[in-house]
Amino acid sequence: MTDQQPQTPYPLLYPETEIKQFWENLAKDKFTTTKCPKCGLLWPPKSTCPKCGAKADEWIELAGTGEIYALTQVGYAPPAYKPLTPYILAVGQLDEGPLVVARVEDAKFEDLKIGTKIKVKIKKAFDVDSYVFVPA
Amino acid sequence: MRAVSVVGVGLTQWGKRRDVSLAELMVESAMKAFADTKSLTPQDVEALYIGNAQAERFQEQAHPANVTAEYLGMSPRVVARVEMACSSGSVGVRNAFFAIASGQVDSALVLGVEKMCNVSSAEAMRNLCLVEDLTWESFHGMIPPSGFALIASRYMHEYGVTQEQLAKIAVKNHRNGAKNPIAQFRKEITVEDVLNSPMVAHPLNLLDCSPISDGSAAVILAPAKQARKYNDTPVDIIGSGQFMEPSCNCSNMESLTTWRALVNAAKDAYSMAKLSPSDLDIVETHDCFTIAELIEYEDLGLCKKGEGPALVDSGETEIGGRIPVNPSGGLKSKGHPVGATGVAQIAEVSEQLRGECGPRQVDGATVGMTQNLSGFATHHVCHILRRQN
Repeated sequence: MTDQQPQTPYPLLYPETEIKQFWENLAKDKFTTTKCPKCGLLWPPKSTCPKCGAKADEWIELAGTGEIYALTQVGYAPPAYKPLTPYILAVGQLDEGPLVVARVEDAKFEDLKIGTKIKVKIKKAFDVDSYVFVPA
Repeated sequence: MRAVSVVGVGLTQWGKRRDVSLAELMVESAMKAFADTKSLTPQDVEALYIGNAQAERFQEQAHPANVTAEYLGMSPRVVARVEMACSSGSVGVRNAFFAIASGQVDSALVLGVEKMCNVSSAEAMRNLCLVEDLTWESFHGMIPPSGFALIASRYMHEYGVTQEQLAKIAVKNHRNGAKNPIAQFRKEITVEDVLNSPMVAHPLNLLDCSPISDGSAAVILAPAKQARKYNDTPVDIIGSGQFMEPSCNCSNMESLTTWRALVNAAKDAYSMAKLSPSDLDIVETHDCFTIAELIEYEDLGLCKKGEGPALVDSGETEIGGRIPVNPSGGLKSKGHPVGATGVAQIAEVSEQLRGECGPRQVDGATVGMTQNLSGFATHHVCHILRRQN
């Protein structure tokens, strides 16, 4: 992790945040989130449980497998995303429960539908450790 | 609580307004609203609420309420700039309603404004993306249309709706907007036009989406018992409801297809008004995208869950139908200067209940509802209005 904020299309919760471990784990090829001792998994990762206020400092590795819950293909986006356009965007339901938004790569929109099996692929986006979905 | 009335309404021309500054646009709607009253002037008004989402981004002007006060020569005792993204205007109305109902003030000006066309459409789009969760959704390429497209994909999966049925909503709203002199797009369109327009986020095409707009709207509120002093045909606000889900990410909504915040906001408004959906004569809803109006039919109780597409096909939401929706043309045709939208909805319903809408008038309308949302439908505000007897 560097002291310099990376150039991204939006200011991110990165790297100065209580959940910076999310990106540190991504760099180690682990897709993780925080867990509340009482309420279970939190997504997106948060350091305080929004349901009960408990400190959520336990990090859990997710399998990264799941299925498409909602699906679209974007044809018009802000300038930073022009090189990617058109791109597929999905809500993926991971096997552990969380609903996660990410682009879907290595797939044609026509071949995807709600229920299609997907998995998380860790890769950089805009020079930041990030993730996309790919078909499982 | 005291009963509250709308005693003045005013809208500017909506669309691209390169001829005026932000302040001049606000003065234009405010002066029309004051001219709509018998004798009220800005100097008489005790409370000022400015519904504005992003003057810092579009004009680099912060503290817009103070700008308004200067240009209108107002010295309000109660004043606030209300920023609630696309629902800023109706949250302003709700705050003014409670300020008068509580007895704190005897008059309030709610002024909604957004001037979005002086930046490129790409920059305007990015500004709107800042409403989302930046890290977990915007960064991944989420844009406002894609959030509603994800909702549409779920609706198609759970209940079934065709792109043609969604297109019919846009066609209806353009037909209405063509009769509204202030509308941004006074042009009728066809289902084929919608289906052949460029894809923005499947299944939503360009003509399924509301535009980027400049515009302002103003309403003046007063205690119902004093209302006839200011206007011969006052309209009472008899119900107000608001609800927010604990989710900024659309993926964390309780349901993408039944909007919990809307169901609850509507329930509170109906309960306060002691009315039910069947009592409504007209509704102005937040049709930022066609799929939104469809789900709003259901969650406002105009039809049962899953029956929105059949309601579209029936034509009952047209002017002249059982329950006309968006007789103004809605966000789709009238335009969507985001901070002004909620105020303009109150103005349209007030004018409809006063019988002053000319070719788009819904005959005999006495009770109407407004519904305004922000985020990915995670926050909603509803008002019910009735012509004062």
